[in-house]
Amino acid sequence: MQVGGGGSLRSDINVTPLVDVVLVLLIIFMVITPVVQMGYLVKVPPKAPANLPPSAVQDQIILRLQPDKTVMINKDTVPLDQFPQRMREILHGNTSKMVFFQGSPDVDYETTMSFLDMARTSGAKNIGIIVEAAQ
Amino acid sequence: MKNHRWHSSLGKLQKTALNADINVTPLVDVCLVLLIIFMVVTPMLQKGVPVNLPVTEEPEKTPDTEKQLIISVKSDGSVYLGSTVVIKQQVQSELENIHQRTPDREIAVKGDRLVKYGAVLDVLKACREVGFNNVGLIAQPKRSPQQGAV
Repeated sequence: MQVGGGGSLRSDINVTPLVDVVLVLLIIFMVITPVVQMGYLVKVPPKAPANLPPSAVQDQIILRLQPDKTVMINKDTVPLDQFPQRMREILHGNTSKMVFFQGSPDVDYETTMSFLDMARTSGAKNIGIIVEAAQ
Repeated sequence: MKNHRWHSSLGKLQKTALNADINVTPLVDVCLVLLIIFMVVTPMLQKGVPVNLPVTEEPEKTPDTEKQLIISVKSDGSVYLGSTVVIKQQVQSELENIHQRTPDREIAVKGDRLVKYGAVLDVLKACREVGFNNVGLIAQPKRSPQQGAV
């Protein structure tokens, strides 16, 4: 851009500080944005067919969370603090790692989720939710 | 940035000064646009309605995809499909409609931590009746004190 004779005007803004600030802001936003959604993938199995082989039913592990926050593994009541250990014993050698969970409708959702978390960290990789009310 | 020009393609021979500045204008352009996009998009990222998610030890990643349908259960027990409130009795019929149109939607249930499990169970029951058999129960990991509603 030669305007006058010989000399030249320097009309550039010094953008370096601007770029600095913008890049920092950009990085901040990029770091904050991907708040990864966390949770538990569960299955809500459809109604079992009536002609299910009895062996399939016998091998099921059903966890029940009672309103008083005690746990039942199939028909045994287990204190909550011994639950992870019992769970590991039961699931040891079980290949499907499938358990069914039947929660009480009167328990807090957070308590229920904490229990599901405990079940999952104790080895129950596949969790099926039983939606029918407890008998 | 001096304005000495190269006078031929063999500029080597005639140049008087090297112009060593990078042209940053496109960079600034792109950065500013990205910045604006992020600033606009960030508040909209909370899909569904904000709820206080239950805090648990170590949930797994349940990545939110385009196909995901978020069902939120607020602390007062009201149910939201996406961001629209739905009367409890109509949850199943609404889900039925969605399942007919797009059977491969993924369901993510965001229940408020204070709600009773029964309220979430009703939603799960509706999911099962309709045919959505894989559901993600969204929780919040204990370690990172991130935004209340994600």
